[in-house]
Amino acid sequence: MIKYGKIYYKRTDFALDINDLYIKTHDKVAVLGENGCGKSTFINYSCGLLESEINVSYMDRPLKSMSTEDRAKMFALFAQNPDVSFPFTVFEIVRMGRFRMCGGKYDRKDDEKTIEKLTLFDIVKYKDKRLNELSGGEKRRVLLARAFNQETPFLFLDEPVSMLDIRHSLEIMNIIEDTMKTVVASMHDINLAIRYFKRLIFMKDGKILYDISNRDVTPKIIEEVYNVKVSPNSHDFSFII
Amino acid sequence: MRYLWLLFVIVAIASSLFFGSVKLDILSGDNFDIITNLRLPRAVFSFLIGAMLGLSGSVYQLVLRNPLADSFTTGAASSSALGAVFAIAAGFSPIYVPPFAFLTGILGLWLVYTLSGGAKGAVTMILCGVIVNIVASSIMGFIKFYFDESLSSVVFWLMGGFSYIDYYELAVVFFVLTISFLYLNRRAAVLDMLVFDDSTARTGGVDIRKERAAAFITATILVSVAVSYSGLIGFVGLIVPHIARSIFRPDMRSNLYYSMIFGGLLLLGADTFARSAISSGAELPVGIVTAVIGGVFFFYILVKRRAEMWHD
Repeated sequence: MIKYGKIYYKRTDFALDINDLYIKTHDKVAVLGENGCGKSTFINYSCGLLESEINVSYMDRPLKSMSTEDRAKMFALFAQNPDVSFPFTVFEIVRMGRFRMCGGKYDRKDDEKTIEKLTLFDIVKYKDKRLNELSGGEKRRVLLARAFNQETPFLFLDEPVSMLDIRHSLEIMNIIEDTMKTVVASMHDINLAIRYFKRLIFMKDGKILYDISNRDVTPKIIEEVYNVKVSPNSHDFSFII
Repeated sequence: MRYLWLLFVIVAIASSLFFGSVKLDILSGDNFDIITNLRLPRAVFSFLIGAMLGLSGSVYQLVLRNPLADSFTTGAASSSALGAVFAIAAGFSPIYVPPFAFLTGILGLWLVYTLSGGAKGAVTMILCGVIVNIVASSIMGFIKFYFDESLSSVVFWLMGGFSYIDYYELAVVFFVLTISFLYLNRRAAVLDMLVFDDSTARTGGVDIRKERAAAFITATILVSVAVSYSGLIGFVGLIVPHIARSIFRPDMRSNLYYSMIFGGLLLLGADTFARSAISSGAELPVGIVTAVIGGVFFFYILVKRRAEMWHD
C-alpha cells in the first residue's frame, strides 16, 4: 500500500496539493488531467525525486527513511523522457533494470529474465541493436521493459503509451492489466484509461478533482477536467486485439 | 585482449626510444645515459600523462553525459593550471603544486557544473567551460605580470611538455594513475547506470550525487596531477573515449581501460613527433601538437553529431 499524508509542494506558479491518499496493493491507477496539471510532479514526488519534505510511505515504511537501494527494491519508474546517453544495446539497457539486485554483476539468471522481458515487450528482435538506431516508440518500449525488469512491487509509469502505435499501446495496456504489480500511470488517452484502469484520479491545478472508479466516469466530469465538450455516443473507432 | 594492448604499449614505448631531437645509436653503450635518464623516463611519462587525460575524459563524458566533455571543455584543466601557476609563481615547493591545482580545478569544475544546471545541457556546459577558461587565463595573466621574475618558467610550463623528468615524478604519476584506475574500474558497473537520465538512474538504485561527486573528484585528481607536471595539454581526453567507444563496447569497464591505453598512446606518439619533428635539435611543445589534432577532431564531432548536441 502507498500512503500519502498531507502534501504541499510549491514551485513558482504551481503547487501540488494533496491530502491523505491511499493506493492499495495490486491497484491499477491512472492519473489524468490536462498538460501541466501536476501528473508528472505527482509521480516524481511519489518516487522521492523532488527536493521537498517527502510525506509518502510504502507498506508502512516512510520513503524518507529508505535508502536508494531500498527504494529501488520497492518501486521502479518509467520517466516521461527517458534517455540513454551512450550507444548501449537494447539487451544491455533492459538488463540494467536488474542493477538493484546484483549491483551490476549480471549473471545467467539476469540474462534469462531480460530475454523474458524483451519477448514480453516485443523487442527481442532488436536485442543487439543500439538504442539510438530505434524509433521513438521502440525506445519507449525498451525503457518500459527496463522498468518491468526491476521487478518491484510498485511501478510508476509516466505516459507509458505516448508515441506508441495503436497495436503496441494495447499490448502495453494488456501487460499492465495482467501484472501483479501496483501500477500508477499518467495517461492522456481517456478511453484507454477507462478501459484498462479500475481507478482514475483526475487532477487539475495540482489538486485531485475526482478519485473515482472507471465505471463512474461521466461526460460531465471529463468536461470539467479538460474544459471541452464531450459527446458520449460519438462515432470513434475502438480497437481491440 | 587487454594484456595484448598492454604488450603493445611496451613495444610502442620501446620504439619511441629510437626517435629524438638528435640521432643516436641506441644500442651503443655511450648513449646509455641519454636513453635511461632522458628518453625512457620521458616516453613512459608522456604515456602516463596521456593515460591520465584519456581516463579523465572518459569519466567526464559519462558523468556529464556529454560527448564534448573533457578536462579542457569543462574548465577543469585551466582552473587546475591557475592553481599550479599560482603555486609556482608564489614560490611554493613543487610538492605543493598538485594540491593547489586540485583545489582550483575542482572549484572550476563545480562552477561549470552548477552554472550549466547539472548534466542537462551539453552546449550550455561547453559555454560555461569556455567562460571559466577565459577567466582562468586572465587571472593567470595577472599572476605572470605580478610575479614577473618567475615568468619564463611559467610560460614554458603552460605550453605543455615534458622536458626534464626524474624518477620521483614518474613514480607519483604512476601511483596516482594506478589508484584512480583501480577505483574507477571497480565502480564501472555503477558508473554504467549514469548513462540514464537522473530520474531513471536514481530510481534504478544509484545514489547519483555520491557517485558523480566521487567520479568528478577522481577525474579532477588525474587532471590536476597531469597539469601540475606537464602543463596544459589539450583535447587528449576529448578524442580517445570516442575512439575507444567506436572500436570497443561503450560500457565503462571497456571504455575506462581503452581510453586510458589510447590516451597514453596518443600522447606518446604526439610527444615523439614533437621532439623529432624539428631536425635542428629543438623541439615543439607537445601541447601544440595535441591541440591541432584535437581542434580538428572537435569540429568533426560538433558537425557530425550536431543533432545530439542540440537535443536538450
